Amino acid sequence: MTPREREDLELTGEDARFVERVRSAYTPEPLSAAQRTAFDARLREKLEHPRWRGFWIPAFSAAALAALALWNGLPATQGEAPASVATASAASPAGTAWEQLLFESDLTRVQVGDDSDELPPDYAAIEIAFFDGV
Amino acid sequence: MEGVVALSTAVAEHDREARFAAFAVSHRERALRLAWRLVGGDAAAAEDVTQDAFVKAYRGLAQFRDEAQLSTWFYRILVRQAYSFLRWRRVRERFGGAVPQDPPDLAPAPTSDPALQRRIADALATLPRTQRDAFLLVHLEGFTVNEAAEIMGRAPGTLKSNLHRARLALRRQLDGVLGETGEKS
Repeated sequence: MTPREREDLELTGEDARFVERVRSAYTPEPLSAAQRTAFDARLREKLEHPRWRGFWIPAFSAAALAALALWNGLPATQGEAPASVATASAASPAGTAWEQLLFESDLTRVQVGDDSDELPPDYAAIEIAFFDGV
Repeated sequence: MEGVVALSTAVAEHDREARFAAFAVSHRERALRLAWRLVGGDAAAAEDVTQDAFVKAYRGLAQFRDEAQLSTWFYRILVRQAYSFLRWRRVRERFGGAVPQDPPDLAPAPTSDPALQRRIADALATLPRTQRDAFLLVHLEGFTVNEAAEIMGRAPGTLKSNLHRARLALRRQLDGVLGETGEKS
């Protein structure tokens, strides 16, 4: 950061005091040595045994698809997709939004410049399905 | 020849693990603190979010030779992971009632005021996400504007504007509250 950029961020007295108060009040206690050790052990466990790969994705997939089918009154058997499903599918032409969420979603594929206030298609599908877009 | 290949693979794996361990140790505290703030002071959730972000960082380690690039990428994932958690918690609460939480390992500071922390978390939650992220990353976590802009995928100028708006909005909500309690800190 250049000195010029630093100057741009220089807060006035009131702002600086406000930020400092928020920072000091909204801070967790630092980890103790024992907590650090426990954290590292749990992290190693997750690295060595990624729980979600083996079981959770298939299990969650089945549960989610069943829930979605119930939620939409089994649209496949009625021959007419409700509006919520149509909207979700339109957002992801390569497959249903649910398939993308369950099998292809990867949080590491973050696009620079994406608008964080707008939900990506997978989350948009969830919100449409569960919250009617609210 | 096979032995050489096996040995070089083992050495590469060892280097990768050593590099990751160094990265995790140097970023653990900051990552946990940022996650804690992003998820509204939920310690157990902060730990899960942080660990999941580290797991992803481990998988992507080979893509980044430069520590600064890796760090930016990691915090971008951490922020996304936190919002992913919040969305799923919303879904679970909608369908399963309140979600039971494990006792937090990351207890708030003994001198801190839980009610005040709740007020701050609630005030932050009213901000648009870009303003909230900018405020947390720059003002509370001490990232530079350029670093935060890279993490958020925004232009530095836009981020500064977000910071300004976030401060105004938060001060409107919290100035009175912090004025009464700020002297304690």
